[in-house]
Amino acid sequence: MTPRIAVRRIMGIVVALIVTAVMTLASRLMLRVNDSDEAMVRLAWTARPERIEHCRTLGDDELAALPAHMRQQVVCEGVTARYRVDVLRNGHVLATDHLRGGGLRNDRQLYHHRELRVPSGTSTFEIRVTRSDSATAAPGQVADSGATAGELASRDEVGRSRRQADEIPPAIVLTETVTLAPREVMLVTYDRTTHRLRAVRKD
Amino acid sequence: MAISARPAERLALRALNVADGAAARLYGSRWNPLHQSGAIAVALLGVLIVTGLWLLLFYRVGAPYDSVARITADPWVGRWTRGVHRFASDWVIVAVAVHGLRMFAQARSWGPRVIAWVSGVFLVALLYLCGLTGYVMVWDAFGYQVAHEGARLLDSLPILSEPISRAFAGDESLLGPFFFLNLFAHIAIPLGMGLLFWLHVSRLARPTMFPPRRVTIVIVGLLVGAAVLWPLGMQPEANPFRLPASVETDIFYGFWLPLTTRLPAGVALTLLAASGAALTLVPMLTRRRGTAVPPPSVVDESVCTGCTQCAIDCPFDAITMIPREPAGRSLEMARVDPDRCVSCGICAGSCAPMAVGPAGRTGRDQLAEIRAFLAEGQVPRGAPVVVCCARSARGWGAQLEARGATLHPVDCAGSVHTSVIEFLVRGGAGGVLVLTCPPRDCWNREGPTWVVERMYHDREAELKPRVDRRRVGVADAGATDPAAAIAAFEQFAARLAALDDAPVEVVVEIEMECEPVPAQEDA
Repeated sequence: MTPRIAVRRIMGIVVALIVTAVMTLASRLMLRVNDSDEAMVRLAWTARPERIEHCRTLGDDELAALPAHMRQQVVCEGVTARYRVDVLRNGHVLATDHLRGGGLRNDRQLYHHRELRVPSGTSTFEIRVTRSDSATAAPGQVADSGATAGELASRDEVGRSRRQADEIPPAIVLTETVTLAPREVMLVTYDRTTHRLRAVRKD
Repeated sequence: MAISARPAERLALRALNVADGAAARLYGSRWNPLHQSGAIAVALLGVLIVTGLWLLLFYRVGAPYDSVARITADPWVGRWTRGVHRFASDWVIVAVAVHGLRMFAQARSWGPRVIAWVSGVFLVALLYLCGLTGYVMVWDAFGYQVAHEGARLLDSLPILSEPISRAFAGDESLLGPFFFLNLFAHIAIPLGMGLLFWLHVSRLARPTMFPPRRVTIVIVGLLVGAAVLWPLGMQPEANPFRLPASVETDIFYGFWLPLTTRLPAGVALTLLAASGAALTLVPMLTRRRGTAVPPPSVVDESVCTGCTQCAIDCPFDAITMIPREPAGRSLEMARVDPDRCVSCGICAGSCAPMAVGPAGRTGRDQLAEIRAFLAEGQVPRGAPVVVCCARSARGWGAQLEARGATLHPVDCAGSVHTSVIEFLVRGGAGGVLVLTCPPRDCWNREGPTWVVERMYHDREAELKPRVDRRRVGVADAGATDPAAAIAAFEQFAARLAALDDAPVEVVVEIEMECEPVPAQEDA
């Protein structure tokens, strides 16, 4: 091996070690991902929107026009309600969102996920969820008495009651005065048992 | 006006040549890691599979962070195995990037190579997905950031009612099923990659799967060394209630995070999708049109003997043997699939009766050209002739000419018919040195291999025994390795100088006919 080749081989080894070191360091690069000391309010919940229905009692002629298995005296049509979410910090509006139920017909649960950067320190947050649609539900008043539809109507009524019990109220407010540490995250979520918003902090 | 990527191609080639030159000086053409980036990527994937299977034994979907912490705490096997797995996943990204750049710069991204390019882009996408699921498995601060940001981007698509980000909000703990799904993806994606890889190399005959053993050993050694010397630690566990000030980021997999976190999700996702689409569409931007498209090989059916050698030698599986109908001088004859043919011309060098090759570059065309070359007196009597790839000759041709060489550049040394060499030697040249590209950097894949086989190992279309072997030589030198070219030439010239004057035949007769296959079988 000539001295020139030996020098090249040594250079080759050195370069390989340098490349290895650089790639290893690049694999563990410490990057600042949150430059500021801001905190975060994270709104995240799942809730069942209110169903706004208009029910009416079918007349005998209308019932007769229907196939026997579809005869139900009370029929309800309606939409799921829309909601407006306002987030205020110390009385100033931070964000406003409009929510609708999921799915193509917006008749599924509504999901909300929003992250808001806020200054750390003590603040009073007010989160208001209010139904945008002003119409009120008008549940059927006439019990179904059709011979074949009785059981169906009853089941429908039970289902409707259960759904109503699970629906988010037309208006809920959470007011919370908190001292958030830098980069702390406060989660605001909806408690489906108590039908209230609640703030969750882990630190 | 058609958009062309040719200027970018030229620029990339220039950059690649600089890097190639530096690497060739350090490691020589044979061990140049840049020449075998694709094979190195496959070897690294092998390392990932082996170390991944080992780590899988100790991973628990019910306690992801704790189980990885336990692995990392084991100083004997766990820590460095995890380090090797992690660093190999980074290196494979680099290897793949070099491989892609190489294919792009060398204009190997269009025409019949579109399938390889597009499947390569999808392989990279799957590789990234696999790597990212691997980081989520650890469920540390970086894993959380990857999951959270990935979910945020996907939520901008109007596909799911429930935002995926809800899963990482912190109100509900992530359960085993999530990590099980993630683990499943981490394992299933490589299986999908296997299928895609098959497609990636489906148009190659004898794809080179692994780098030379020495290169493999060095790479594994460097990986283990890095894992032992810079052992991996554990970052803080993922915490949805605390934004980290800084995160130890694997830049190879997380390079996009600093950009996308500053952009609205829709914009960031569009940018990422546009980048992927642009990469996929490269073949449309690089494809040649009109006269710039090299013609595919054609077969002169009246001369073809049905010997199958061209079909065997074709590096792109573009030639098949079909029954000759009506039956004639042979049972079969060669048929070139123009959709697969890249016009490399290797078949021209492999066909003894010179029946196949791209138009104007068949063995017969080469012979006519070399007759004219000699007749014009371009070769001083007794001077050494260097037959070389035109591309490589740009790098050192002038330096060889200054040393007394007569250059005969061709498209690919592998396409040179041995009759050309015979004709030169018998026609007055002092000797013929065939300078090929380095075997791992042949743009046509197998040119150097077949040249050596035909010259020294009696591969069909072999150099005839009557040719004085002392007056022929084969060496390889890349375009960026003039030192190797000069050394090979000077050695060859010195060898010739020790010989007597070459005998010169006034009329050189070259056999251009072969016995057809059925005739031999009948006999």
